[in-house]
Parts: sequence; structure tokens; C-alpha cells
Amino acid sequence: MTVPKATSSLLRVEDRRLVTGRGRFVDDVHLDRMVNAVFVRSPHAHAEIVSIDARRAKDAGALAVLTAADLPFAGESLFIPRWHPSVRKVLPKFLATERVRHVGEPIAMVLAADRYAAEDCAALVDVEYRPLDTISTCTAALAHDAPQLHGAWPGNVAASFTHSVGDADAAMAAAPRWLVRDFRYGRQTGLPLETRGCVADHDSGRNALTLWTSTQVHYAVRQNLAMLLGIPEYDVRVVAGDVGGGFGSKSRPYLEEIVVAHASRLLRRPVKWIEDRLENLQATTHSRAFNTTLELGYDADGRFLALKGRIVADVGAYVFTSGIVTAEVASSHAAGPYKIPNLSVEVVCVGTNKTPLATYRGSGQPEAAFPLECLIDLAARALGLSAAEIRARNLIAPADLPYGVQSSYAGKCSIESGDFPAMLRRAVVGSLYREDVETDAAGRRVAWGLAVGLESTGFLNYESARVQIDARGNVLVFSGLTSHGQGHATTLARVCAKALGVDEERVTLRLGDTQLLPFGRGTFASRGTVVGANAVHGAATRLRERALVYAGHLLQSDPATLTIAGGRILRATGEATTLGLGDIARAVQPYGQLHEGALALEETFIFDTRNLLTFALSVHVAKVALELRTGEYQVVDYFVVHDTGVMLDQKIVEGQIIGAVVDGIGGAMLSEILYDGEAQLLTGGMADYLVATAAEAPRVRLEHVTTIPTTNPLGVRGVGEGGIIPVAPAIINALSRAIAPTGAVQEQGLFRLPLTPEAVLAVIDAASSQRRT
Amino acid sequence: MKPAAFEFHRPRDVDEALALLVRHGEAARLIAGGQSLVPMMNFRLATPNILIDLNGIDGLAFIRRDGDLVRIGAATRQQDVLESALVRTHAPLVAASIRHVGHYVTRCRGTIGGSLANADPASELVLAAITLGASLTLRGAAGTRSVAAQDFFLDTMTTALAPTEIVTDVAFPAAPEGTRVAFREHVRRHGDFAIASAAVQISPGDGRLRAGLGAVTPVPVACRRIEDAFDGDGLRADLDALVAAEIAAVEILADIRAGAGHRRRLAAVCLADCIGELLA
Repeated sequence: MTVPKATSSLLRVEDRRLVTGRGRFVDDVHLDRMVNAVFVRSPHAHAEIVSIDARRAKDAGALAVLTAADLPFAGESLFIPRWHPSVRKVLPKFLATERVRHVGEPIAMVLAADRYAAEDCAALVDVEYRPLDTISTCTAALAHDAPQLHGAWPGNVAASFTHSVGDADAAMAAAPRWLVRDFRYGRQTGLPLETRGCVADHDSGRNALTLWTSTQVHYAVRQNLAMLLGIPEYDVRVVAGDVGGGFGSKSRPYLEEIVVAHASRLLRRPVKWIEDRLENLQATTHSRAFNTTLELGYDADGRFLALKGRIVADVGAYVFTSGIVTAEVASSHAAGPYKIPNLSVEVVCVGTNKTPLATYRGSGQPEAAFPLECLIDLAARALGLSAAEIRARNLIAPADLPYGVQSSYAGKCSIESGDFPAMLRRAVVGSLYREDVETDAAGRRVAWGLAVGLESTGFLNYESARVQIDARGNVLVFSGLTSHGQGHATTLARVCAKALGVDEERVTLRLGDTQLLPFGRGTFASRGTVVGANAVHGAATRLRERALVYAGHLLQSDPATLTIAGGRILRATGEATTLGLGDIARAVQPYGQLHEGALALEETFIFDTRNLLTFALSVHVAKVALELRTGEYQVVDYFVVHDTGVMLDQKIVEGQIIGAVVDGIGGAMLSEILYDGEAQLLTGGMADYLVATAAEAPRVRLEHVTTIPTTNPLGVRGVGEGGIIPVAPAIINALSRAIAPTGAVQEQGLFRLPLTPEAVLAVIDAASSQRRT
Repeated sequence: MKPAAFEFHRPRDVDEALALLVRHGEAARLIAGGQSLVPMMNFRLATPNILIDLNGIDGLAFIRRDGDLVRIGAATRQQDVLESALVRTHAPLVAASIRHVGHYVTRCRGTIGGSLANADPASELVLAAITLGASLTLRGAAGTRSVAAQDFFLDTMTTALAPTEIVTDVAFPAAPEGTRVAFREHVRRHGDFAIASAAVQISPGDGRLRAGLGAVTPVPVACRRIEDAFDGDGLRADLDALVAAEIAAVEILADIRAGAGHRRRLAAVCLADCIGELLA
């Protein structure tokens, strides 16, 4: 396959609507007789619920106050699609009874005429608690006298397993050199601009439900609503209209959606619930929160022989529906893009009195890249090799392909294409990466850092699409995806237009509504292009073939001598015909001359990938300036070499990468969900939970390398997460060099994310006192 | 995150506002820019029954030269102060400090009087007021009084303003010809609350150096040792030793943004940098 020239849209189709305030988000849904819901949430990290008394709230005008006793499905749980077998199943209840185990756990729901009144009434629900001892850290959870969170979690261990390839113990013992360090990845969250929220409208006459919700996975929400509320799936419609970001935090059904839907059924009125930012930080799943010990064995030439790791994940108070997927991904991909024949990673998932853990952009891959890429730089220094050279000696090379990757979550996959060493070389050349340290005009030390990240994209096999042509030749594309910033309306329309032979302007995309297609999945795990766009491509390709067959009938010609361009049927010679796609659509429809029973000229296609993962490499180079007196540092330049396969739209690809880099800079420098010693949340607003903004964003230079994956007909690789994976280690590797340009540095203090100036300064102090002695 | 119900009043003049304050006492809160109060109300950390909106009062938003003072009306928007040529020329330290207050959007709503009355330890404007020896005009039912900044700010978010008084303006001593200023602060991100800040002004006209430290103590402090060591030309003692003495003399705050030790280091750096910048 030759590499098609990338197209770049000047403007994304969806943006005019979105940036002029004409998007339709959940909170824009206003229905007649609609009421508002507010959840009463636990202010305690760990407590027994002695009693719940809603009398004062009802006296103050609450339309209803629901507790677990009001939920007929209280004894059931959300559907678990797939969990690691080692998980000891303890799901949160829809509304807590007996005990609460983290701040923000929902206990009751208050319904009132508007949000103001609902909050007034929520404050009047009297919950009597008996506080229990809290667990605020993994260390405390694993102590022999620790309080027990759940009977099913002896020792507060929610899950544990070991992922291994080869014989890591023996190989490590035999390795001539080894390094081991501890790495701490703080607790973070996806923080979408639009918080969660939903509007439920239950039609009591028909026992049918419509739920508008801000989600990445509308079909999974439908499945749970149908199952728990006892409504046939075809009578549950879930609409994810415009969704203001997800970043993995909306890629699972949530308890609130079910309770809100039930409330609508109970009250026979539409119910709206919009999560506020405090709730978003308390009750939407968190992520990262890994303490990793990683040991690398290598030889005198810098060849990696063995990798041993231990991940202690702070999974919070329950294992939520996504299970322990970030720990599975981190252990499965612990070796990243390197040939490490012997690998063993032990994972221990520990329960604490915190919000449950789930996915956030990168989903375990940033957690894996951070320790590995920092350790590799240490090994390079120990051997006197450059950061690029040691990586070049170990990267999976084209001659090694296909290279098998064993994962617990996606089975046996393979890296089947790519040229990783070439990308590394281009990163070094293109970025002007160097290993000496300069001083800038402001007296800051300036150094470069390099790190590599391998992104596994396209997870979860199926996606669906339907393409339909109307009698005027307009093309409608239906997709099972959701859109929350990816630009699908632009990209998928282009995929369809190219495959079908029509102008992009004639193509309109509809998605995010379970009524459009009977089955789909949604947008997460960098699967939009790999799975979703290929479904559209498949449907459009089939439709083109069918249209040409009909055209052959109408023109009395061999379809093989016909083609489609600009929505018109042409002869292979380029000669125009009288037929357009609209004419064919009219002929196929009822009363048309070719009508054979079809309602429209359309095709449906389900794309099913056999290779469950499509891998995408990126090499990152960060230039960092460090103020030695304060530990403050700034990313002043950033360079990314990325292989996205075929780029469906260059500008959208670049937007994904740059956005992810900035997200990663925030994660490396700023963002942490903090709890105090009593497991009280300290970061309940955006003055305290810090993320990178435009002011923190450096120039990000990109270079695209294109190799074509064989996993899908379009030849695309996912692009949503690669940009975040190696950001933190690239920055830390630069800082490590800046602090000690020549010698070794007591770098242990740098291996914590987010890396605050305060922590950096402690390392600088240690380095300078070391130099003095 | 919706505020509790409140009664809203929009008086036409200060007397009417004062009458409302007298009538409702502690149940009432004044609102001007709302950049601190509204989030507090949304979190229900503040639940005033009565809200008295000062935005309908003429004559509270002004910037003018008043003898050897620069007088700024309490309801003047921070962004208007920042953009004022008069402030830049005659109160350059105020202009330098206000650049670091929040963001353009918040400065377009937030007022100088609101920021001072809120008395956040990290407030750049409080630091400027203390460093320059500003005075605040407070009007109450009983009359008008002028209070020096060092007497106005009592503790974290606590001032000498009586529940029935309104800050109407703040007066900064006009900077003599040739005045040079430096303002520096350390933040995690631009526009965030400062972790440490310093303000320094040197005026050849009166031969004085004024210096202050912000964000590290409950109330920003004037650095008298450094001010006294200035001989009109340079410092009579070692700068680092003077800075160390200033910082050793105060109890340093700690919170989730930074521990006390780190704050102390940052305070020393930004204070020394400000002085170094002006004496270089």
C-alpha cells in the first residue's frame, strides 16, 4: 500500500456549531415537567450509616428522596463486561447502605423542582454516621492491623496477579548489571470540561426510556438500563449528543445514570442530574495512583536482559466496572517497544478509602512508560551511552516483526509493522537533541530529555456503521461511535466520501444515539479510527459496489466499466453519464424501477478486527529549563515523532498529539488528587486540582512517519493517547541531566509525579551537598 | 454548586448601602466583582441572607491624583487599574503587582476594593498596599475614617472593617519622579494564588526603599530591616543576610501548594531578586 497524501481540513465541520454556543449538551436538554436531582454524598471517608432521615427535606418541598430502599435493583450490580480473573468482586452499591467507604459516595437522591431547591433539600437530609478508622494510603492498607474495607478483600487486597514472559528471575540473577528504583505516579483524573450528567425521560404508558447522557459508551449504558430496570433493550434509547470531553472518565456506565432513570420512572416526570465540579472530583473515577518498583537487568553493551516490576495500585474503595484494566495494561506493556526476553510484573491492587480507579488517557501506558524510560536513561548513563544509543540497541526493529505481545486484557497480539529505530533517529536529528547542558540568559540550566512510548490502539473489536444515500444524492453516515472532541464529523465524512466517490460536503454524520444502529460500542481506547472509521469505510465500499451494479442495470453497461466521482456515475474512460447516486437511490426505493424490497440505497457494515491491538510508536524529546535556586522548571521546546499510519486528517491528528502532550505536561508537573491522612479530599476544585493551560504549553513540533499497519483496511493507527504516554519521563530525563550534567544524581526524588518544584529542589540540594563532600 | 437563596439589593448610593448594612448586620454581605464571594456562595461556604450589590453606586470607580496620593475608588475594576496611565506613572508598584492578579477575565470583574477587603494572604494588592503604606477610606453610618494598611489587615481574611462599614477608596502615596519598582512572585501557574511574592520600590526623590513579602504569612509584611539598611544608594549590609533576617523573623505558612521550608526558600529568592533587579 502506498501512503496517501494526508488531507488537512482548514476547519472541522463541527466547530462552527460548537464554538458559537450552538452545541447541544446534556444540560441543554429541557423537557416539560422536568425536575432536578441532587445526590447526597458522604462527607466521611469511612463510616457506618446509622440512619437516614429525609423528613426535613420532604417538609422543605423535596418531591422525593430516594435511598437504597427505594431501588428495586438495589441488590444487583452493573454489568461487568470483563474483569481480570484475580479481582475479588466488590462493586459499589447504587446508593450506599450500612457503610460508606469514600468521600463522595452517593447515599440518597433528592428531587426538587430546580437545582437550587434540590441542593437546599439535600442539605436537610439527616444522615447519622458512625465514623470508622480510615485508610488513606496503600502502606496503611497493607499494615497488619489496618481496618478492613470489605470482607471479600482480606488484607485490603482487591486483586493481585503476575504477568510474566520467559524467566525473569533467572535472567535477572545472571545479568551482569542491574538497576532498581521506585516510582510514584500520583492520583489524577480525566477532568473533562463538561462534567457527567444525564436527563431521563421514562414513558410510563409504554415502559420505554430515553436517557440523554454525557458518556463515551452509550450502548453499554443502554445494556445496563435495560437489565436493571427490566425494560427491553429496544425500548431504551440512550443519546450521547454533544459530549464535552471524556478522556476515559466517561468510558463506563455509572451508578447515577441508573438511579436517575429509575427516579423518572417513579415520579413519572423527566429528571435531570448535572454533576458539579466538586462531585466530578469526588465521584467520577480517578486514575494513575501507582507505586512501581522496577528493576532492569542488562549487559555491558546495554542490551536489556530482564525486567522485573512490582506495581502497587491504589484502587480506592471498590473495583469499578472497568476492573483493574490500567494495571493489566501497564503490566502487559511493561517492556514497551523494547526486546526484553524475560519479563515479570507483579501487580497488587490495594483498597483505600478513596474514589475508585479507572481509566484516563493512556490507561496504564503512561504508568508503564514512566518507570521504564527513566530507568533506561540511568542505565545509559551508567554505561556511558547516549540515551538514543541504548534505546537503538533494544528497540524492536523491522527485522523482528511480527513481534508477539502477550497481554492479559487482549490476548496474544502482535506488532506487525513499523520502523522504530528509524523514528528514534529522526527524533534525534529533527529535535536537535543533545546531551550537554547549557545555561540560558536567565541563568537557568537547559537540558534535553528523550523518551519513547508505544501506544496500543483500537481496543475492543467491533464497531458498526451504516451509509445511506437519499434521492438527492446526499449521504448520511450512521456510526456506533460517540464524539467528544475527536472531530468524527469531519474524519468519518471524509472516509465515507473517499470510499464512495462523493464530495465531503454531501456527507453528514449521525452518531451517539442507540436508535441509529442496533449495536455499537463508543469512543475510547484510541479506537475511533481503527475500528469506527474502518466500519464506515466498509459500509461505504460495499455501497459503492452495489451502486455500480445498479448503475450497470440502468446504463446497460458492465459495472466494471463504471466508476463514481463527485456523486456522479462516470465511464472508466472518464465520460459522464446521466446518472448520479441520487438517481440510483430513487430507482432502488419503493416505486423505483429497480426496487427489490429495500427501503433505501444503503449498506451496513460491522468491522471486526482480528488483531485486537494496533500499535503506534512515538518518540518524544523535551527541552527543559531549570531554575536551580527554586526547583522551578519549564518545558521550553517539545518534539514528537509519531507514526499514525495513514492520516485521515492531518490537522486533527496533530491536534490529538499536541493536546495529549499538553495533557501530559500537566500530569507531569501539576495534577494530583490529594487526600489528607483521614482520606478527606483536599482538591475539590480547580484552584487546587491543577492542569496545564495554554500558558504552560510549549511549542510542540511534530514529525510524522508513516508505516501502514496490516490490521485494518484503511491502514490507520489510533492517535488519541500516544501523545501523553512518554511525556513525563522525557521531562524527568531532561531534569536529571540539568541537575547533574556530568555525574550521577540522587535521582530517586525525581521519580514522582506530579514532580513539584519543591521535590526538584530537594534533589538539587542533595546533588550540591554531594558535590561539596 | 448553586448558592443558597438570598435577598438582593442594589442601592443607588453609599448611604443607602450603609443603611442596608445597619439594618441587616452580619446577615448581609457586600458584593462588587464577586470573584471570591460567588465561588464561596456556590460551594455554600458563604450563605449570606442579604446581598448588597455595590455596582449600582456611582462614584466608587475612579482613579485620580489627589495631592501627593493616587486615590483609587474601591469598585474600580482591577483591569482598569492595570490599564491606567496614571497608575503606571504614579503608582508603578500597584501596576506591577496587579499584572499577577488572576486572569484577564477575572480582573475585568474583580475590584481593587474587593481584593483588599477579602484580605487573602496571597493577594498581590494587599502586598502592594502594605509595602507602600497605603491608606483605606472606610465609610460607616457614624462617619468616615482613614485606616493605614498595616492597621487594616489583621489576619488571614480578617480586616479592621466593621460589619457596618464600606471601603470606598484606597490611597497610595504617589511615587516620586524616577521611582523604580520590582514585583516578583512564585506560582505553580501564572494567575494562580502566589506561593511567595515580593514587592520593592526605590524612590530617589525621598531616598527610600520600600520592600514587602507576600503569601508566606497570614498578612503580608513590610521588610523594615532592609528598608532601614538602605542609604539612598545601596544597602549598608549584605543583601542575603538581610533577606535571611527578614524571613527568620516571621512564621511561614504551609498548605497543599507548598510546605513552609519551600516557601521560605522562594520568599528569599524573590525578595533578593527584586532588590537585586533594582540595585543592579
